[in-house]
Amino acid sequence: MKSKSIQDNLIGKIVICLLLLWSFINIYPYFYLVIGSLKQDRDFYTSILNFKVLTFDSYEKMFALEELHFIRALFNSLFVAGAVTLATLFFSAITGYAISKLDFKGKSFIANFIIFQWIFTGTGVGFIVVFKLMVSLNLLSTYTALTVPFLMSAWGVFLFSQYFKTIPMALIESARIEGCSEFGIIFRIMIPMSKSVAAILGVFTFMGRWNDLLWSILVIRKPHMMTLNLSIANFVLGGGGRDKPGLIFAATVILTLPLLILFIIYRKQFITGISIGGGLKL
Amino acid sequence: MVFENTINSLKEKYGGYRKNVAATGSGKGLKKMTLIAWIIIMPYILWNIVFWLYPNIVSIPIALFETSLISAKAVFVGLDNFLDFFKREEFRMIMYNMIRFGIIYIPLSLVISMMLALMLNSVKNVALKSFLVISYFLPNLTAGVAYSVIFQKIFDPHSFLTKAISTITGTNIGWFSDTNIVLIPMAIMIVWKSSGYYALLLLANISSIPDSYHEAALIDGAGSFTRFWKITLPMINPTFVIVVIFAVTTFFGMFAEPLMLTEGGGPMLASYTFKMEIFHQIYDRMAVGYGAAVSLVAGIMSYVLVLLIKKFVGKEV
Amino acid sequence: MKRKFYLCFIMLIIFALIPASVFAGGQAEGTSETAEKPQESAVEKPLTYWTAGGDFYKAEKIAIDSFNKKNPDSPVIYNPIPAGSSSEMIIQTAIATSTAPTITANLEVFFANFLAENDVLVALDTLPGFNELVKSRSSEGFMDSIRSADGHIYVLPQMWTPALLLYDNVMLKKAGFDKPPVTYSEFNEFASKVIEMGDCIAIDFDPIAAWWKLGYYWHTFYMSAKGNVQELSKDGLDTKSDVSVAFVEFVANAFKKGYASTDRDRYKFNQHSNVGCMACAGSGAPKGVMAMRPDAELTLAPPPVPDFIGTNEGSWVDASVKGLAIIKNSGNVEKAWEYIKWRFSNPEFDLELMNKTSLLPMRSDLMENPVFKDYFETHAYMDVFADFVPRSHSVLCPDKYDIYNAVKKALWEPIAYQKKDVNTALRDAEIAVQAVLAK
Repeated sequence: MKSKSIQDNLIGKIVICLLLLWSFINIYPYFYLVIGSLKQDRDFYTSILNFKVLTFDSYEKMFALEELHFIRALFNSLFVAGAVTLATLFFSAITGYAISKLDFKGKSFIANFIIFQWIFTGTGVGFIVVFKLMVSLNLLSTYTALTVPFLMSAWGVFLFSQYFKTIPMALIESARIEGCSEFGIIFRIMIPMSKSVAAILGVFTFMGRWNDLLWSILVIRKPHMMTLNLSIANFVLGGGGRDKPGLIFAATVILTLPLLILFIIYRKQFITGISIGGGLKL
Repeated sequence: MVFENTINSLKEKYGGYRKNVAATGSGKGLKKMTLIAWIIIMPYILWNIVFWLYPNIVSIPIALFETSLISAKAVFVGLDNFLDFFKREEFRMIMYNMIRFGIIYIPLSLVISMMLALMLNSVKNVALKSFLVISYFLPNLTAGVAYSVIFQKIFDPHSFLTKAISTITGTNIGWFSDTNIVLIPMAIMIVWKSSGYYALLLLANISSIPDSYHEAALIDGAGSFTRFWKITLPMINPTFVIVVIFAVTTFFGMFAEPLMLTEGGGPMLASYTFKMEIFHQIYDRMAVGYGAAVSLVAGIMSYVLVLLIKKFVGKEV
Repeated sequence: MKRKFYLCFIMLIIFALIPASVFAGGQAEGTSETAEKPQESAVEKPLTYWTAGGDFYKAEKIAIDSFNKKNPDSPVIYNPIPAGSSSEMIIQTAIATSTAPTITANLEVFFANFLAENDVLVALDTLPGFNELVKSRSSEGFMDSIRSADGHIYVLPQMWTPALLLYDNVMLKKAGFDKPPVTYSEFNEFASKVIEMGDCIAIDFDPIAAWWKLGYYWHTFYMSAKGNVQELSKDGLDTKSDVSVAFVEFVANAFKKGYASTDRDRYKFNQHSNVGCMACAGSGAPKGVMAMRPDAELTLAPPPVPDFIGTNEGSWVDASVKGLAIIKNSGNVEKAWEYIKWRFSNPEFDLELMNKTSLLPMRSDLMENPVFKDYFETHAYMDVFADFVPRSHSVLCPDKYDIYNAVKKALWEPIAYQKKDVNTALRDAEIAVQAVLAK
């Protein structure tokens, strides 16, 4: 018996070592990115551990540009990505609930259609039709044009519905017996239980909007409405970006940092989501 | 097996895991339920008609024309765009690459993510677990272009990694310039990016399996592999299906990697992908009709693959 | 019951589609109404201008700002279009939805001519004062190589950058050469010395060159031997000519003997000192190399020529050309032309362009004009490029993109990876090019 617990202990340690190794592999490129952004082009290919050559040159070059409108662009990006994320979470959760937990006519059709929509890439030029719609409604350079076409996500609905399927029906039944409405069930039971899925979907939706370039190029024509990504792409990197690795890395750091901060702020939801999942033990 | 009975009784006790749905939808309740359900999904449907269905339906006929966005003359060519695509070497190479990439990437990512999820589930220390979870999600925070740039440096012939491997094997390795191995570094990059995320999806579901299932099985004397095969895997089936779908359809979304690392799919089309061909047609050649046709082929193909996965892997999706 | 439901659903979709299609159909009137209403009340419709991005934008901004200071009543509204491979798509989408600006920059000549074929650009040579403007920049010689098939000129080049070969002086000296090799056999002699130095190559031909890079290689080597050849314009290359055959043989030999390598990431001229010469160097290249390797010593030269030509004295090379154009139906054509005339008749803005981007403007008096004298004295290597500006042109063929991709597939990659011999490759390339032209 004693030898078994020692063996378990050893396995536990090996497991932790492997897990830490993978997390090192995941963090290392970020380290590389930050160091690279602090180097001048001529030192760019020197050893990563050569800390003497680090400067803030690339960042200074970037922020010296007043066209960057940094604060306004940051606000635009945060607002657009935030609004889209909240809407996507809300609509995905309620639609996912209806599809996975309610029995209604046409359910299988809708469920299959959503999977189809998620997987099927379409013609690749559908966005031009949406763009024409925006032009005809005179919505160029507005927040509406940046947000409304992205309010919902088939992938989000699918993710939520798959997760809701693992939540026992008995829980919903008992809530119904106690007189809880369907929306009550969604907001009091289902969403609190699926925080991890919500966190994952939220982060991805946020990132999708945050990193978007093509759509913002199309619909934004006024400098003060530019998102941060667009602004950096326009004014900092421009045409010759490929020859300026230091500047590219610095821009990447600036674009990744807000995501990282947000993710660290909401890490609790991420983690509790996962441990609440464990709370399902009943 | 004895413990299957135990599990079945547990399943019954904790409510219809899947079956009770039918019980609610009988008689008078069904009409009311249908109404409520439709009210709930109505915003989604309306939005989708305007922003998804309509644009896609309107743009499908474009695939039957030879046209650019602005040309005054759009020549109707019927299915020629599709037929021409199937005849070209690009199509054959895309199919070949899809298989080669799938053979490397799918098992690798599934095994790594499943192992990570199982190992993470056994970690009891909360602080350590939070650190690991956060670090596993990090790769997803960078856009494809940025991480391609980072990996370009890591797979550079003068990098530590390549030098080490060259010393061991005794040959110079050019990761992105050899037709036979170019997909390997790309698969590794995407494994790096996606495995942590798959693992977190799986973990969310694995940790939701009641401990009593495992305890019951332990009492029945089931080994750890049997428990994984008979309890964990069936219980996480819905999430596992998502992960398999993600892994299989990854190839259809591959774009930033060939664009940044191999001048758009070289050498000799060895890293050419669907998205690359669509980009090439629509953006470089300005052949919108042809691009739409290729995009439709890719979309239908990926959907068929997903249906197959659902049929063979998924129990209920 | 079930069927009824599906019917209902389909009806719902159709009903939703009707208003949506009305939206899209009424788009043409919709924009003109909504877009013009607020502007009628203003003095005049503003002139909009999409500049190229990055450093280009910084240079152009100076010109526009000083123009706006002079004309405060009707300023030019400007912002950059993001450069890169999608800017053509953005311009097309904007034109298709009539939301394009009046002036748009960053156009390659062949793309501008594609737009012109679809009747969206103003023919610049029909505007008053065009010939005087060209003359004032002493750039009449450039016009032939940007003329479109119908004989008109639709694009006014802002930059005109010749491509040359960039040699590493240290390597040249080590191999016993005091000046760059002139013929292929001299180059091969140099190359054989270079590869003896260990883990070095002589020339960095890109085995998977993008279409435009392949175009530079081909045209620069071809023109270096043949001089200014306009017949290239038809199909972009001339596979049967003895010069082309010699060039392909030269490339095949380089890859076979290891003078060039398929391992493109290992040998990078601007990062490591293991490459004898850079095969395609625009005027930004020396600056880029100096940023990474500050102590490098460089020599610029036109490419070597086949032995039977013997000399590359006074040779021509290929140029990278991008310019701006006026869009027809956007109104304001006169005003746009007024701005362009003003901008292009002021050499200071050309100087600004050189200062900010290290790219050269289209004018043959770069070396004579006193405005630029200081610049060429303080910026090393630029005078060599300036010298070549009048002796370079951009090869023009409407299907440039398709032709070079076909050549890449049929000839360049198989030669680099030694899958085909020279004759087969040339024959396949000829067939592939004819197939493109036949379409």
